[in-house]
Amino acid sequence: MAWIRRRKNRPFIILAVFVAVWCILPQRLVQTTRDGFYQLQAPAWVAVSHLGDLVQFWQLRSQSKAELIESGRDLARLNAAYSLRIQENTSLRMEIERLEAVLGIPSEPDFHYEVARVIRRDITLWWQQMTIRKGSKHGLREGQAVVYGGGIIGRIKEVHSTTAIVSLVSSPAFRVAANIEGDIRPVTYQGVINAPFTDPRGEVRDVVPGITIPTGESRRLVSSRLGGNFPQGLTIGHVDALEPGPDGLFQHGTVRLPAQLYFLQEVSVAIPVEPRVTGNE
Amino acid sequence: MNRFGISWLIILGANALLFVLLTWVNQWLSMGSVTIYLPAAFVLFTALHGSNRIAFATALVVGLFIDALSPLPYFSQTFVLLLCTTILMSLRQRIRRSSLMQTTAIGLVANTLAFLTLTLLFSLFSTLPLDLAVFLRIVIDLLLSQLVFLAVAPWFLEFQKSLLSLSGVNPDAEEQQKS
Repeated sequence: MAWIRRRKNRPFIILAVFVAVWCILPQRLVQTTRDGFYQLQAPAWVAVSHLGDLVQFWQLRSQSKAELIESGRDLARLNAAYSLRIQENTSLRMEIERLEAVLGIPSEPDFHYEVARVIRRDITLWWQQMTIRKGSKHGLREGQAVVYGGGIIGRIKEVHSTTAIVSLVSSPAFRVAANIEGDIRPVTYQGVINAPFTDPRGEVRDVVPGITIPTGESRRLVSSRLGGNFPQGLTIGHVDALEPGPDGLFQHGTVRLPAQLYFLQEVSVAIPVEPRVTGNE
Repeated sequence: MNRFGISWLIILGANALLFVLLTWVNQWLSMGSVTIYLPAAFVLFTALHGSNRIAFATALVVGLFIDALSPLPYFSQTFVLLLCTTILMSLRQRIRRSSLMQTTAIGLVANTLAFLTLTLLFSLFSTLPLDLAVFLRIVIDLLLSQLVFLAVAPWFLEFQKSLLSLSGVNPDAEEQQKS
């Protein structure tokens, strides 16, 4: 008892009491506390992000009119090119639907894209995630794919009312079915730990021996429809070489992920569109 | 609001500022795949100058805020901050708390212990293989964190002391009375 009464031992007793209380707390209360503390600070992060946008806006305001005219001209050219692509896509989509109907195969899932700003990034050795400024109010759900112009970014891990947490494609906890471009046989993509001062990378596994990559070339690793909520054919990364795995049956290799992954400002969430029910059905 | 409440809110505000700054720096450093951890910086001031109540309350609230954003089991980072506070409080009678050099040195030791405890907890909850890349990353992260701690801790201690002085609280009063 003398040990407890000693003043210098009090911090250890307090720590022990905290740990003991935490151990006996019901899981529901722990989850409620976590949600409460998250919701308490979420508006502050959103406000900081809006402040960043405002700073960016004033930076852009300081650009000269000549620069803006040039940007406008470039955008007009891009818009014209994209308009043509949309027309091509529409005709290709109609052709796919026709073939699906003829062959009686299930149709490809359709997605609409919700654009969201990135609030914060949490890139550590053990996990890699980002928080985005859209949540359940905007139709986001856990497991939905997050993409950008260059391909796949990750998957939604946690959804709150106005924010969502995305597990990045480089995170060691991220795993998805994929295809090596031009081959329909499925492979597995898995995030790995990145060594210091290197670009993000991942690993491709379960590659059948028939798939090869010639020396000096690289092949695109793309998402597969087997990967759940991911649109098919989006870039995950590039594979430079494959080598036999430890089991001798499959090959594995390193996947180079885009360096932009860690400084994106805006992303899109692929929200699956429910198939339309026609009058005949 | 009483003196305790005001002091505590000031300390929490300063910690929130440090947390936001640290997040920004880590976002920028993420391009180089390195991360800075400064758990001891959040509790150093209150553990060395505050009462049991203010020190543990700060560690608990700051820890729960940080934990709410991480995918680890809840309370893991709070536990590390509480542990840091306990270690610092048990050692504070042996150092001259008005000396920045001594407080920074003891903070450095606490930060190393906190970093290693966090690493142990992360590796327990993770299924990752502990290979050379992991070891290298841990070493680089630790070295970088300690360097940043050396630069940030004296400033942050003085910053918190100045904020409290502005509100009429003298954190060194207890030590001055003793001497």
